[in-house]
Amino acid sequence: MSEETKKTEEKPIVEIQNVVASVILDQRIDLNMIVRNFENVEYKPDQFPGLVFRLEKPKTATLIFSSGKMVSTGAKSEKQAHEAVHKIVRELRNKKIIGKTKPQITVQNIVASATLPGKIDLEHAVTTLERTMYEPEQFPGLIYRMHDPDVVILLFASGKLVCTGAVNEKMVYDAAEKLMNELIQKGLLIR
Amino acid sequence: MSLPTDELQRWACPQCGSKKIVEDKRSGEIYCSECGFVLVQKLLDETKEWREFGDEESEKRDRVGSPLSSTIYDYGLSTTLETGIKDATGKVLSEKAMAEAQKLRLWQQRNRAYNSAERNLQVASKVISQIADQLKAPKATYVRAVQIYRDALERGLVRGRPINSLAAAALYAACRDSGIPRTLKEVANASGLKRKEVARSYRLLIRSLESKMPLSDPAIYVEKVASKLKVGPEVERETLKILKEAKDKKITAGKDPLGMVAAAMYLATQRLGLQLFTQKQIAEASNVTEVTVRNRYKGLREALEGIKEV
Repeated sequence: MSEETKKTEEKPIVEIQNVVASVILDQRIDLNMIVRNFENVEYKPDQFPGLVFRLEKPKTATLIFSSGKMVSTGAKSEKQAHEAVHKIVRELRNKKIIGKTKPQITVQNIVASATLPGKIDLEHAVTTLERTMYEPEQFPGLIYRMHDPDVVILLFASGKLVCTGAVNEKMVYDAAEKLMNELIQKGLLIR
Repeated sequence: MSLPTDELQRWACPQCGSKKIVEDKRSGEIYCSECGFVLVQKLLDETKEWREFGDEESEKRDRVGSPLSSTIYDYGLSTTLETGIKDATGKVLSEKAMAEAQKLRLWQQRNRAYNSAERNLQVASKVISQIADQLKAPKATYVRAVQIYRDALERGLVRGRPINSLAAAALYAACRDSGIPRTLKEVANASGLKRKEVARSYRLLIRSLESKMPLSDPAIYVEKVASKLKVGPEVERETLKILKEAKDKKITAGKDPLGMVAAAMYLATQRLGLQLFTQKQIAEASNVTEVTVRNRYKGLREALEGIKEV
């Protein structure tokens, strides 16, 4: 019972660091028009076919392609990513660069960092957990490919971790919690 | 009971679990060199029976081909039709029969699995042997590396990737698997590839073959660094002791094994009251930076001796 209460008491502290979302607008965009109308953009067609549209609030960078597709990066939450995309679409529409559309937004990847309460016994974790890789010669963290949710976690001896590959926020929290319970159960978390 | 000798490497002693299994051709036994447990008795000797002097004599007495080897695509079990003008009874063949034989030979050669996979393995085997030579890795490791490469080839991992990098990765994997102290850096240098490339292929190998490599243990590098710096066995022993303590205290997790060795050896000389080398020298010998040595050294002193340096 005490083990049970401990589990609910202590939760991993999760912080989402980056949300990457792809957007389909379903109409072509004249990138040169954007360059003429906006200050905070970067467009070097001979280097990269996309235009970089930076927003201050929410602080994101969005790549816009002439095909009408966009990639938004840098948002700290799914909500922020949506906000950023809508803001850009609104501004482009105000300048008559694009017509009326409903952007299709799909979150492609979420990167989050988390801290677990205690240190991790990496050397034993490699052998007890499935689908892991730990090569201290190459990288100090242990790479753990979780099945469900389908994410990749980099585990460090300090008890900190990085989780990537999630496509919604719930996956991140589920993964962190599942991992922590697994570590506690197998005695790999040293307090 | 006859098997390619390189198979031995995969064996473990059922008695003590040691992997140091040796074959003694004279007594015809395979036994564990750690505890002496005999795994196989009355082994068939695959080598030649007679002493011979000169090529002709050896040819006359030869009844079999070369022993099986997994470094060759078909394990050296290929068949070829003899070229000659006489048949088995010693009669000279007629022209018609010779033409027939020539046709058969051709078909037989084409029928042999001389395909791209075989050619690929041939090239890879050569590359691996070159790298292994440069690193002075033992023959058994080379053979193991070819085995790993063959596995990769059979799973289609090689397609679309350079042979070189996979060959180097296979050799590194073999070194790790058999506890031969060669770092990824050394393998990369010997193969003329970037460390990153070899590392990428190595990760691919491990992931796709679902093999578990033994953890790279700092202890296996101690001897190597020690011999480079020409320090005595007492330092080696103390270093191993320190590494063991460090491992028990779990401060080795996530740290470069070579950095750990360097710092432990430095601490060892201090404990023994010796001054054999500078931090710079040990850093060079173990191929890490001085900063790494100092940081690990600090960590070791804190964890093992309770000394906090400001």
